[in-house]
Amino acid sequence: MSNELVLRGEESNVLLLAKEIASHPELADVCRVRIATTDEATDDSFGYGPVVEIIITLSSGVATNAAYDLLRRLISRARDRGDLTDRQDKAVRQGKNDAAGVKAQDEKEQQ
Amino acid sequence: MDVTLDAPSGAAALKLRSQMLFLNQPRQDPENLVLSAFAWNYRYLHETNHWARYHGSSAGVLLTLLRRSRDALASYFLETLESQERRRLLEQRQSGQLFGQPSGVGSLSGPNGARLEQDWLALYFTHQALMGGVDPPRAGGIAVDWAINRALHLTWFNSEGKGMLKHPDGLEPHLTAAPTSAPSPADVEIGRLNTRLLFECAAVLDETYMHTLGSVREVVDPALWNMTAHTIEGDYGLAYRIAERLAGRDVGAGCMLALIDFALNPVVPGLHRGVAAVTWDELQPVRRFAIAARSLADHSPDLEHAHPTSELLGAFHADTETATGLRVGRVDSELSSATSLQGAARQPVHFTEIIPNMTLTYARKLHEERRATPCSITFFGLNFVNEGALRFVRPETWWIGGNWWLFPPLQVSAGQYHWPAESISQDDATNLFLGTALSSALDDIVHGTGPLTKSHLPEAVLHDTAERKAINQELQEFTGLPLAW
Repeated sequence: MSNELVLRGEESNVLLLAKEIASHPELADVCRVRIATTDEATDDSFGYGPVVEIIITLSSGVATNAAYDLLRRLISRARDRGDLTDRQDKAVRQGKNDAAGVKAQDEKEQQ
Repeated sequence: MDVTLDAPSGAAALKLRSQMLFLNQPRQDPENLVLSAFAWNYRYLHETNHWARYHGSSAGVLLTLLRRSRDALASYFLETLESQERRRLLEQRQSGQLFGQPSGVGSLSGPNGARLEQDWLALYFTHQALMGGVDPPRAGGIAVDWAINRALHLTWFNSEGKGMLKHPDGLEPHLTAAPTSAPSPADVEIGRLNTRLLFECAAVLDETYMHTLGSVREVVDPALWNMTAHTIEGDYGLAYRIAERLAGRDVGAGCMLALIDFALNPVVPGLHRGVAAVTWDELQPVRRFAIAARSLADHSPDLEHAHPTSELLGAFHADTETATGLRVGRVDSELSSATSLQGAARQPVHFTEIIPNMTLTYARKLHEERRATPCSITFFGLNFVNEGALRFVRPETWWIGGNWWLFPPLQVSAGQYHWPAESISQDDATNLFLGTALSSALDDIVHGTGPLTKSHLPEAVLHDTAERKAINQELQEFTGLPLAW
């Protein structure tokens, strides 16, 4: 059993979050992180950076409360750095996270 | 929190289609107030940079005028249709786009409609080609040179005395057939570079001024510097990497900003007095950028080794003109008769002219600023370093007469529409909203295939049943078609 969290935000912020998660051994053991590009249009707009999704899968049977708290703090700090749209919606919980404009996955994977 | 699958990310963006800045407010309950406040300010600076650089460049003004001509032409086309033709137009639109199809609906209204279709496509194509890369996109069956010449002609013809200079008799704007000197995608990996990425590179470089020179640098969270460093390693730094490869050496950030500014300011027929003929190398920003970058192999401007000043920038322009044969453009025409947002919003004009009126009023002030202090647009980030940061605090009143023209006035935060309430009334803001919504629907109507798009507009306004009904009514009166958001 696992909990999956999908957040959408600017690439530089999302990648920094992924690095921070990877730098904590207590999370690296129980957390799987993937980054996926999105179709969010950029052709006729100037943005702060490409928009990507981060998919964080936490092994709930293994993760401790401390690990949950740490992840929550890291995400909250990432939200200080920029908007992260929470996409832990029904479709995602049912394993349909390949919808919603995700076109390339597994650019970065950590176990 | 449940969200719909196509919900936008909330990422900051300046949408050219609507000329609206999408930027959510800082978090209400941040973990770290300082980090949250600085992160928001960096985004605001980044997007403001685009606003000032786009409207404060000759290429940006040309793009505004091309778009205005295109929208006016689409609107005129719809007005000329008889009721039977409107019905056929809707049927044809449902089965595919109208303009640009082999059997386009332009033929609905005979030779006149076919000519309007060709002219619209020429304006659309030229806009795309200017925002594109070294190689022009496909022109949909029309000759590239014809399309650009036609677009330059139509824009000058439509804009004479309304943003552009008086059109001299017998002097048609046109591309000259000078041999090209821009690198082709085969020379270097330049194929992915486009004009948008030139703007993005400049905006990221301007953030580095905040990191390295600003008096607040000691309190800025290193995470923000890490984010900027990551961004420049991606596509937003592509222009930088290509320029260094073409120059065959490292190039300083100040020099890179000057190169981008050079690229975005071509001589434009109708804006630059005495010019009617240009080459595509001279007009297209990415081609200008590549040619100018390559010239750095042979000279090292003083700008690379010193704090940027207007004098050093002037010397850079002179050296680059000599080395490349490409001229630095300027805007000699009166872009707007209005001198404020309120003045622009209250001019009685057609829906397709409301937003161009607004942006040209800002462009007028930005080009005045460029003339008075050439450095201030080229090295935009320096405006906000040390005491300059106060320009952020009260843009309407700081210094003499404020500096409102540096900042995009129409904003969207959390899906809600915002405007500078201290400058304009709610009626003015409604007028501006209708101008942007209706004119930006025209591309969808004549060149789109599905429902009207809305990601460039504030979501909350179109979700409100009463407001949506009122806007749709305006749209139907404007187009004569039963279309709706």
